Amino acid sequence: MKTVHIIPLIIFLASCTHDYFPTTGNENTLICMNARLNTADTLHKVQIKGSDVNRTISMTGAVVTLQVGDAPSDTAQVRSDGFAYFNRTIKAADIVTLSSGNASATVSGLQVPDGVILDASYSLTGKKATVKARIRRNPDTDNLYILQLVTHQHAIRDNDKEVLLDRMTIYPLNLESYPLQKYPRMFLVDSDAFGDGDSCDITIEGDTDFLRGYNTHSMSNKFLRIDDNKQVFEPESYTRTVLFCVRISALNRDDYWTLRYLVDDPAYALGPNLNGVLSMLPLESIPRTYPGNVSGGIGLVSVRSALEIPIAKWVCNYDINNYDNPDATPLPLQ
Amino acid sequence: MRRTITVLLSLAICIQMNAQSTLKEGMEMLRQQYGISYIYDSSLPILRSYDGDRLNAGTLQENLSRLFSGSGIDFIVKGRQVILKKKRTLSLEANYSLSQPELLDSSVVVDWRMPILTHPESGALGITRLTVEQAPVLLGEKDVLKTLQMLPGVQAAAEGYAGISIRGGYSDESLILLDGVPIMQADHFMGLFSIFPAESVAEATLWKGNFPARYGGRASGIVDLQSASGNRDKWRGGFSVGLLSDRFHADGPIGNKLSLSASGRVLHTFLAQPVTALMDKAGNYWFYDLNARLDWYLSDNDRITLSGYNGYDLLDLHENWYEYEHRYDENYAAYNIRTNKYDKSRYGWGTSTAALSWRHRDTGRTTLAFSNSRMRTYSDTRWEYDTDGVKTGKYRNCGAATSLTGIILRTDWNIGIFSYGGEYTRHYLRSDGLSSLNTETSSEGKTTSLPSTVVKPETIPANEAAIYADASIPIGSAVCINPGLRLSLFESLGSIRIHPEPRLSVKWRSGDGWEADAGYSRMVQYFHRIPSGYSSFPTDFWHPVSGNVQPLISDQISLCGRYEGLPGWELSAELYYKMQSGVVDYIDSYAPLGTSQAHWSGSVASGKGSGMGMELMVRKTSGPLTGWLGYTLSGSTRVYPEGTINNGIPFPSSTDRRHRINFCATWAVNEAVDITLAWTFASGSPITMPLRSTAIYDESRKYEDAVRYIDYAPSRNNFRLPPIHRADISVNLRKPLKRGERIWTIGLYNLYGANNPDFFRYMKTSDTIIGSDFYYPDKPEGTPFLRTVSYLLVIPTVSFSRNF
Repeated sequence: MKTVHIIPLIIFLASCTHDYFPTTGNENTLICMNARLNTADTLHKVQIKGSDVNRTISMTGAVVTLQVGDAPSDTAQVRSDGFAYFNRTIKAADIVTLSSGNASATVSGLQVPDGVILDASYSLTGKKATVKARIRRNPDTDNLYILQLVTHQHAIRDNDKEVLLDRMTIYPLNLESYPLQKYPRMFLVDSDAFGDGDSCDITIEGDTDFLRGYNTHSMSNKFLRIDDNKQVFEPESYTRTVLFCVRISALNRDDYWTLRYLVDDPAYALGPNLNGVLSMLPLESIPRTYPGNVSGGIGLVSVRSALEIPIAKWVCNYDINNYDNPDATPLPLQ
Repeated sequence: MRRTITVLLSLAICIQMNAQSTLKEGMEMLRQQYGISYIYDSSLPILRSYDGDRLNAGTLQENLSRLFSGSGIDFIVKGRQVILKKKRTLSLEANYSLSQPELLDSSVVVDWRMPILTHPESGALGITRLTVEQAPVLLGEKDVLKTLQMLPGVQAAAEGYAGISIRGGYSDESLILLDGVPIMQADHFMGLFSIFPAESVAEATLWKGNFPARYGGRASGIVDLQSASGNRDKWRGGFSVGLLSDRFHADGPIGNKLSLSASGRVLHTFLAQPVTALMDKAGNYWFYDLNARLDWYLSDNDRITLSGYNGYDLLDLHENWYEYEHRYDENYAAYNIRTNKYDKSRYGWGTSTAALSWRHRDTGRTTLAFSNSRMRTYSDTRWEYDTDGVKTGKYRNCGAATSLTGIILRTDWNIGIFSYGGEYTRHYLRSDGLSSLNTETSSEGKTTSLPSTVVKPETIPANEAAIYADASIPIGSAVCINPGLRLSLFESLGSIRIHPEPRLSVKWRSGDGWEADAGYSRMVQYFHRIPSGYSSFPTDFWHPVSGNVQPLISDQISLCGRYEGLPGWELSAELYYKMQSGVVDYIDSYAPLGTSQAHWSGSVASGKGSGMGMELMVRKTSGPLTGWLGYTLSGSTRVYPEGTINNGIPFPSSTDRRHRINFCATWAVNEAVDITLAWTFASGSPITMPLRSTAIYDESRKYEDAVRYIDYAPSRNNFRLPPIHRADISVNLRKPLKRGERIWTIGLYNLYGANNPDFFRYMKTSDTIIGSDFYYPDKPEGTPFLRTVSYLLVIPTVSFSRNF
């Protein structure tokens, strides 16, 4: 039950409502194409959805075409997860064109200035992990960046050195599921973060399991493999390495503002009551119209160039015959 | 002999009677005897016979009393002028737009124009306190800005609200001056009322174009308000009790050289504040206004005035709710969690001004002034969690404050046909930033707190200066050319901007009632206050231009034709075209409270705007029935070529309302009763309306699907609200008392209950939740629609006023 006590001094003698259904003139399904291509990655994913008046639909099977510079184009089909995957190398200066159906977008990226990350470190105290990064201000750019924690995981079987796992995972670095956020938009860097200085310090603290270590039991399932006879087997023993890196990617303004919309909690602007008041008052806040650069469709495609700095490394030996293998702790890089 | 004496006596009597047989003749006798002149309305019954005492004994005051006793005419002596009016009309000063009547040298008989609209200067439109007091308004809160909204070319920022938009400009493009001091926050309660109740203002002058060179700093319009000066003859005052507020005013002389005027207004809810502040579950809102003015008449030619305003709004919001959920953990074990949430927020905002000015005749004025506009707010939120008996908690406190302070020095002089002057303002924009304190309480009772400064405090000084000169050059008897130039300078954050602002107007007057004006004005604006919604909120604050945000430059061409040849009527037509550069808007978002100047600069886009329109008006200016009918046809657009707003495609401005009709008529039934009827029609405002659903890539989530489903609006201001129309009526019932008068005001706002949208919200249909207020079985589930709520329906007004 929600009780709201608000006392505007308007006399509510009676009220009347009326509903208006706008006619769009276009009731067809539009392709919604979103992609955040990063020069530090080789695997890129492009999100494709269908946009109707009242719902968003799956576009599994739709064909997406990627053109990078003058190289021959690639095509891929949208999978059940809503993404089409491409394995390509992209540089910041490349002209990239993505298209699907009637929708297409042509973009290129912003170069991340060299040495933009002055320092990055990781420390662990008990259950509390701290990641720090110092970002240098560039006088010639908007200084719009996103910081992300990237883990590069490798698992190699000890006897024959077969690669069992080679995965890169990007974490948003805002640790939104954890309390005690010091800076609500901590993984977004903008002019506010610098103030009058030439650099800004980003510090993230939290009780984070994934930075503490990997429980062997919970991770063992990730190395299950299926042989040709569809039998499940596990490797005997292997060495697993996780490299933790801080990645900084340069954003253009559209990219930055889309992220701001997603992570800005209006409650950060003084509590949900402001929003509650705004939603009650005559003429609400102007709804957001998200930036888009997809012609013939909806969505935002961008290319980000990135730099990565490793901050910690975790190494663990796994033995299928020894379930009591203690958890290892990520070690700061020397 | 007896016959001779009788004839002589009769002759003497006749001579006496003939010499004083009419009021007019008696007036002429006194004029010759005392060297005075009269100012009066031609409709006064001065030709009625005078049957009183002889008029050659006693003082001027005594003779005037004898002459007009029982005639229904009242008088006031100002120097060598005697102003006449009908008894029981409101204050003499309110009836006339003469700034210094004591300086007139000759008898003037003017057409009686009901003091509703005046033309104090060419290109300007004036309203008096009488106009404001007669206009029917919401809940009887007589309001200067809401009365101005009844004029062509002026509209409210939103239906029923006080913020004004002049010729399509945003509300921050209108300069509002109170005794020469710029008012940066002119609204109460999100714009429902302005800070200018009727008692505080003697007259208001509106410029929509052809701006004199002495005005600058805003792009689209000027509202120049003059506070009421105190009566120099006797003390008078009054109070008023309405449905919403209580008001008082008092003015009178202090000795021979001083006069004082003071007025105030406060909401009834102010009385409840001590109680509601102690209660957890009660909110409150109140505001007050205080105006005061002290005039020191050094001589007939010099006067020093000290005037000031102080007003404050306070809004307390409390929200309590609880929620009970049944959840499953990662092992699929069930647990229950109850959440209690307590939220308390306070928003306070206000304005203070003070002005000390020296006026020398009508040739010069120098003013030193101070203005401050401020906003402070905090929010306390507490969550209490009970998870199967395990108690934890969370607490968050946020606070922010901003203020804009100005110290102004200004001087204006007239010599012959030339006017010149200058002004300097030192601005201080202070933001206390945004700070928060987050506290968590674990199940063991351990508390961890984390204070943080989300946005750092900052103070930004700025300097703004201008010098100007213009001339009024007659060419023949019919034409007058007014060239002018204003040079403005703005310095802030290390950058200096200098802009010339040329002004030119040509006026033509024929001898048979025809007038025409044509003019060009450039206005430059160095501060912006972008609304985060469609109306103004106290959290929308001013920011100076800086970085890549350029000043707003507005060039306007206007043509005006007026015909006053028909006695008691005035017809006018105006055309204008406006081009603007440097208009700013938020980039598809709004800036959070307490945002820094640097961040604000990065969150807005600069673009171009344009507007054009035609304003027609017919006025009836004399007789018991007066008023006006106005029609405005206008349009305004904006475009942001760099593509950050609406992908660089032009879109209609939120102030673009194509048609507007204003009708206002006042019927003075008799001296005790007047009735005012107003009717307004306006095209709907454009708003941004989501039209479909779509997905957005959300990498902020830690899950792999990285998708968030949102409502998609293809462009800015892509949907137009339905037109609004409304009739209001107000009746003033006056009764003269032994001392002063009593006035009952009864009215109805929105007479026939037109369903104009006062709120709106975006919603989606359901075809499954039967009985819900968004159930539409014939629409697909999730179809977006706009629901408007009209609550200002047939709102009665009753207020009691007592003047003495």
